Amino acid sequence: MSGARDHMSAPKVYRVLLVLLLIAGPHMLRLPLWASALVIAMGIWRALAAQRTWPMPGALLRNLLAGLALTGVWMQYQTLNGHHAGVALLVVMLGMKLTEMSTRRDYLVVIYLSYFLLITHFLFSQEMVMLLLMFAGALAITSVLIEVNHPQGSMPIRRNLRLAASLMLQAAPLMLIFFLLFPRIPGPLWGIPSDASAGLTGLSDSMEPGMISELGRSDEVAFRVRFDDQAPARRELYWRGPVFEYFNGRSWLPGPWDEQHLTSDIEFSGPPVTYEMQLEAHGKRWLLALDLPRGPLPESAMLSRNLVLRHKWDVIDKKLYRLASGTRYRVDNNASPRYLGHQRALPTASNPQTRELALSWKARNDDPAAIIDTALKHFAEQPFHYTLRPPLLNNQHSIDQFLFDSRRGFCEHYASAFTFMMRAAGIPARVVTGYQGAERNGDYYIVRQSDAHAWSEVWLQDQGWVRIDPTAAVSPERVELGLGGALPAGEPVPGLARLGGGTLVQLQLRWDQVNAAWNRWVLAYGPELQQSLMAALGMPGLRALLITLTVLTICSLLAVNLLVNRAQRNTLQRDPVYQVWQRFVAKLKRAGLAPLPTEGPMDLSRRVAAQRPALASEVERICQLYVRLRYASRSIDPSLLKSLRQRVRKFRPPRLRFSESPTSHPAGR
Amino acid sequence: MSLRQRLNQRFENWVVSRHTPQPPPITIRRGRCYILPTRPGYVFALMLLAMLLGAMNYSNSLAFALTFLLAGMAMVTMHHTNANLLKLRVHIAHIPSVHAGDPVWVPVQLSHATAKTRYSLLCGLSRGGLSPDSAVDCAPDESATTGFEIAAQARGVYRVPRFTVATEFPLGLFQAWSWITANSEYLVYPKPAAQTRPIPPVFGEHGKRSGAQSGRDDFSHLRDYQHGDALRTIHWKRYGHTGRLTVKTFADPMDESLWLDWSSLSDMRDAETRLSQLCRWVLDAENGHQAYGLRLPGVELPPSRGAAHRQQCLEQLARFGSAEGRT
Repeated sequence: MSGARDHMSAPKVYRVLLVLLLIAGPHMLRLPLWASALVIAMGIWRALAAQRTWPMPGALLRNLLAGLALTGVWMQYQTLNGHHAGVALLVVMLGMKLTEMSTRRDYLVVIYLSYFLLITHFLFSQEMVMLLLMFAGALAITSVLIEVNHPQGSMPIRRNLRLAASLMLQAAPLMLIFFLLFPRIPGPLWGIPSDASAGLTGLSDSMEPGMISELGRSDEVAFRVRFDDQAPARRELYWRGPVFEYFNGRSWLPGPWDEQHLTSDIEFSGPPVTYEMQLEAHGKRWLLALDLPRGPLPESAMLSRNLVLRHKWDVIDKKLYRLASGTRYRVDNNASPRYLGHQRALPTASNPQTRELALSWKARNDDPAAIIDTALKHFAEQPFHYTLRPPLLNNQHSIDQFLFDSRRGFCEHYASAFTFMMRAAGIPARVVTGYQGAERNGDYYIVRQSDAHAWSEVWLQDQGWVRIDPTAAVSPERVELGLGGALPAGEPVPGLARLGGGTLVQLQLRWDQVNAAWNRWVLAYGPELQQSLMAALGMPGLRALLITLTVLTICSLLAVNLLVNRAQRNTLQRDPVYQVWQRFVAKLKRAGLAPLPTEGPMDLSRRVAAQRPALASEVERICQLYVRLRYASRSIDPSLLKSLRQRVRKFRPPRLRFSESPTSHPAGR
Repeated sequence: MSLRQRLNQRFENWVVSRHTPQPPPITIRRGRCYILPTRPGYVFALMLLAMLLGAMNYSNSLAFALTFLLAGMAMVTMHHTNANLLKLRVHIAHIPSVHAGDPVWVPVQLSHATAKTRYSLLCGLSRGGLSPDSAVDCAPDESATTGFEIAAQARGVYRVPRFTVATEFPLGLFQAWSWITANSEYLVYPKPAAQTRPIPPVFGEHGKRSGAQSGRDDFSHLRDYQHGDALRTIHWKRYGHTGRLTVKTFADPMDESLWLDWSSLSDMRDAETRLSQLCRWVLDAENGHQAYGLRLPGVELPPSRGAAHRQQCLEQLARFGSAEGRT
């Protein structure tokens, strides 16, 4: 529509552009530079075009530009699927749309796209500040939408914003009702793009030397946990994550049992520990649990053969779940020899020195318990160091290099070396990763990435799988005090993991409490919490949910209707004197004395006096009061109004019977 | 015609069959105010659905929150749109008459006695023909003028067709509208004949006039005061008695009074052609500053001149043949 008259005046176009900048701005940090520059250039061009009434470019040029932009996004990301590419495409297309923004329809397209762009922010962050962005963004876009529907003249910006804000305010109860009661379903409807979990930190699905020590430098929250009763002792707080059962000479990888259900029973001893987990998104398909989960599992989870709590899909949002765990257990006592054979497998020519050492221990005493003891003693007595800055192990035989040369390592080095030695000595063993410890904050505990840990499990006759933490042999403080207590001052321990801590740390812990509440009540609100909310209200089930939703929606819409119509009452109807007078007139009507359309109050009083002398004095007094209130002065005398009100309330004219004619028999029969 | 349009049409016919034409001003009552989503409203709903599916897929709480906020706003805005139209007073003051072949402009005045300004009010013949660009605002205790055009029609007296007053404010997701059935009328004068013929002298009229009376004081008859009459011609004495302003008219013998007579055009068979010719004569005579009278079957307007007289003549031509024209 080149050359078409613009639907909006230049100042309004500036406002549209400003709102777009507000909505697209935060995305610009994620976009490639050329895309941001392109969109900003388009915005500036559109502002100039509005000021100087330039015509919009022709269709050919526009399509060419759009095609180029599309190609640009494709070249950048090699796909149009995924969060980043999708957002880039949306922003760039919105920028292109500016070049043909002139009719009402164009403006509507731009505005609807802006609403859509606003929602994409939440794919990247759901911090509390984003709520602010949501309300500010929705307000800004809505105010522009109002302008589009009011193209003539200019509406004062304050009145416009007030209208948009009142629309939002009146919609807020509906939002709350729908948020709480709209039926939530677990799990994704379709696939989740692969870059959804980009930028999330957490345990990895393989273990190489150096991986966990990298996590150890981050004090991001991994999860928060709230125990129903007393928390177990710190040395029992092993949070179980992915288990690795296959060693390829350098990395530990998951075995083939990740996807299989656990078939054998677990014998627990001691009371269960019940708790609620608030897991941060980590982008992988497992849930963390206190070693070892028992009792009912979350709906979307299962316990795999290697005792990992597997989730049905990638955890890309915060998860809230309740669990019960037992810290003392016996499992897989009757494991098949074939299965155990897999747990002893090692690549043949890998780390010959370590293998030799382990075999020499076995030759001395082939009781597995003795071999384990010797290995742990070896770590404790030889000059091994526990450090967050382990030297790089670039030898082909990295465990040999670690055990006989560098002797400096983080938990993954010890767990890896220990497991290798056990397997070399013929004891079934595997590596478990997860977190160890927890930090108390108010009524819950925080577990941070710096608490990431790796340990070993060995299989012993009659005992099943037994946890052995070789790091504890090197540095017992790691398990008793945590990372801050185990490492010397020179280590790059993240601020919040250090012991003690000043006001800043205290403030951060306070802030974490606020965030924890936000996560628990808003972000983790899903099917489980919804069901328990309805159950707590005594109305479980989908039907009750839908009925409550409908009833509350109708109620709040009725309230909105009342509110809106109250504001649109006639000026006369808002007048209290008039309201009282109307009540009086209604009473007269019921008594068959309806005032004639042309009759003033004094005429009315005279006529009533003639027709019904019994009422004459009262009606006359009311009419006089009304006239004085209405016409004597501009302001309303409150005492007069009060007496008028009282008189009207007490005024009860007797009804006439139909057989009687008020004019011929004024006093009744 | 699509199914949707057919349904709309049936609904409209059913609704309008309950209406009786009312004298303006007409206040839009709750029962006469209808509301439906607009096309952008349906698109908005689709967008919300897409947002909802996205929020479900990612179990994203803030996405749910925004989706529900927008859905709530859409529901709330329905009430605002409705309230923007309710209690609006629709008045049709005076519809300027036109000649056949010209479109009629019906001016509509909107006003209200409520506290809040009504924004973006639309007025048009049909719901489909409303243009959002022609919207008007109406502040409290002020009136806004808008209107609509009726396509050219043949000569005659017409009642204003049912028309629509509507609004989509504030978000354009819903359109609230009311059909106004007013009993206002307008006239379409005959189209002046393109080729004129000389006005034939009408015999008998001159002869009747007495030659003794002469000059400006030659009193002819009394008629009602019309705007534009000279003050000195007012019959003040009669005003004292009756309270009505009356004007003395004088026959000026120097001025050739013309009689525009239906019967002088007997060679034209078609009534409309005759009226067209008479219309041309009225306009020409008025332009020529001549007094003229009009004689139609059953109607006779004595000679006079001025805008008011011309309008009277044209009105008689417009009403000719209709029931009102003869009374």
